[in-house]
Amino acid sequence: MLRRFLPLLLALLLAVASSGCGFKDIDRRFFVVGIGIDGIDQGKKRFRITLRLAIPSSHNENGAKKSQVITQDAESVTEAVRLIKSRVNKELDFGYAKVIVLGKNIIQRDLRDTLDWMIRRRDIQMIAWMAVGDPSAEAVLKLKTSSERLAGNALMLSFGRTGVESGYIVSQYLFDFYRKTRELGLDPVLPIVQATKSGYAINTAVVFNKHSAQMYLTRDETRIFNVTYGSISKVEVEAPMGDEHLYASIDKVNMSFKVRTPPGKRPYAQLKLYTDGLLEESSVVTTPQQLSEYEEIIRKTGETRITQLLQKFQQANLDPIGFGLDYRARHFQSLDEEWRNWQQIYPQLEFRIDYTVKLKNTGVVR
Amino acid sequence: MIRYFYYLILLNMLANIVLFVPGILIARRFEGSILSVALSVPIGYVLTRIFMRALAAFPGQGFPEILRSTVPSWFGKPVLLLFIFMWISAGSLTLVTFTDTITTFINPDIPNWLTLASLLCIVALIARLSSDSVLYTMEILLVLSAPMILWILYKSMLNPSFRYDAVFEIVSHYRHWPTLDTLAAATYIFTGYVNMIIFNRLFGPLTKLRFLWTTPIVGCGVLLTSFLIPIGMQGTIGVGDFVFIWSSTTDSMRIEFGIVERVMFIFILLYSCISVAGTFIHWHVALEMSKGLLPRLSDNRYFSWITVGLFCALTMVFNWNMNQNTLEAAGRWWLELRLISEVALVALLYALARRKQRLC
Repeated sequence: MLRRFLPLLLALLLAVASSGCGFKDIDRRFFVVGIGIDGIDQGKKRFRITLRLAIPSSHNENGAKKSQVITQDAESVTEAVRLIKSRVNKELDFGYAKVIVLGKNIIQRDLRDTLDWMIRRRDIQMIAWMAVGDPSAEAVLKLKTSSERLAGNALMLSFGRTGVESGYIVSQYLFDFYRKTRELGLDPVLPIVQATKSGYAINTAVVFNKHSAQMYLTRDETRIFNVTYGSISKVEVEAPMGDEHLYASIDKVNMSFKVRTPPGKRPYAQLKLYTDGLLEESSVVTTPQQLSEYEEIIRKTGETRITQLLQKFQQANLDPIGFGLDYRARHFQSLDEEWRNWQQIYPQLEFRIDYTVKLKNTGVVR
Repeated sequence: MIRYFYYLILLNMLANIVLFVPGILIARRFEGSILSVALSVPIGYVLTRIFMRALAAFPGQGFPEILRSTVPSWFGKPVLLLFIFMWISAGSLTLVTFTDTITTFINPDIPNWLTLASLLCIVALIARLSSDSVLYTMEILLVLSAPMILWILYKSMLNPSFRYDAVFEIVSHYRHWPTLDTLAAATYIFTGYVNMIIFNRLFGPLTKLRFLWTTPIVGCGVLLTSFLIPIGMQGTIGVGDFVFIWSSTTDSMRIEFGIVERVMFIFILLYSCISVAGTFIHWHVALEMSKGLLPRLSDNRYFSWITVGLFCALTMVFNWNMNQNTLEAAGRWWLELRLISEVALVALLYALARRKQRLC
């Protein structure tokens, strides 16, 4: 009996499964590789969405040419995407969007408003890279680099140490950015991508509070922030030696910190920083015997620079390193109480930096 | 053969992610989740111990036979009916929530009910096999997927974006009394042993359980990871914003040189194995208990088909009437009911075993 029904059952199953499927083939899709959101102010229209679309092609070599940039103004992100859909002939697929660029003017607005669409949509990767576009997201996405082998991958390779490793690049995933906009005691930082005629330059960053952009970091500050945050492993540091200069290349950065609040004393943050590297350039004659002296010079300049940067954050009441979160983790009051206490503690927090520099050699020459 | 007992426990531990356990614990992360996790370990262990001790008095017997031989049928039948309901709903809830995850993240183009129907076909076909085949199938699925799941957990804890400060912040809120829903969610981890009320038929006298002491340790580890890893990745405040907490968390992990860069797809694939295995185990137990409930009808060769078909139909109806909000409410309510009925089951079995031993 069963044997008689089984083929029928299977046939029925197959029929059901193959008919209702709305799957679209690859050549009927546009893969969005970059999303740009700019803020505009034209009456009701508040957003300008720029999408970089990759067109699937069979040859890898000429893949780079096959991309298209579409811009649309609308009053919401959804509306803009809907309007873009009416202008293209293939279905948009956001599942491969690896880079999300926010325009320089939209980050002055409330972040929650801008982020909501990206977080709420199911198909946008949480591991997309976030960046701020200067002068605008549109300009960054419209830029085509000749080194690009696949559409949009130049920007993608700049982040997360996949391609280039630079001490100036702050990398931030979408999920990381989002959690920092929500977390008490940990503030988000985004890299700024400058679109120039010849290509990108990513060497500055911007610090946010929970709502909008607050502080633009200079190039040096960005690098020092990267070292302090421990987010990079390769960085070049410079230290003055009298009138001359010393440059060391660091291969390894280890960072840990603790926030301590001893009763009756001034609260302090103890940062432990360990770096490991070698000399890269020097304008004075160097000798291997003096290595420990060079270490000391680099250590001292590093300590003052880091302290200066941390104090700058402190004065602006920003906390991109996460001292507040560490304080919360070490105290047992309720959420509100801890947070209220921390806001009184942070302005008077002292930074104690324990910076170890290890230079292995003076390079390949003495 | 005894290893299947531990498999049942392990399967249940892993399935917690599908069944709202992290969601409920995270919803109350500042108010008592940590203490209920801590309390659930001794509670779960003691319940397992008592249950297995009691079951040793009935070697090779399933729950229907035990009830038939010890209590009058006006008492036994309703009890059996209650537990059948619990086991069907366990399977249905797992499948319906997992279907939701699949439709959201893998294939939104296919209607929800079709995904569910294809899962139901697999589950229904396996659930009505003999008890030992069911266990063998479960073993294969578990052995194939457990190492990969452990690998994902391990990778997530080494992730540079993982903030241990956020985890310790949650742990530092341990000074709150647990509520019933968090306690029910946390103890679910250790519930795998109750499936033995049917699978006991395959085992001889279970007196020596040499590795039972590992269950609280492993369970505690699984519970802490499934509760705390999302917090480490999504932050103490942000984690509360997500509906599919674990899918979003695995979507936040990136394994650059893995087979697939996005861990989420591997995760969902592995968890489809786990939830299918969990469901057919539950439904098999429910089916066997239904046979015990209606012994005369169960001789009919179509009985198991019809019963399993009924389970599927119930699940489809359930799926039809649920949205995200009601589904979560149903999950919470089911977990609470489960804790109560589990304690009742253990107490009942213990009382029956005591009476039997006194009689003998």
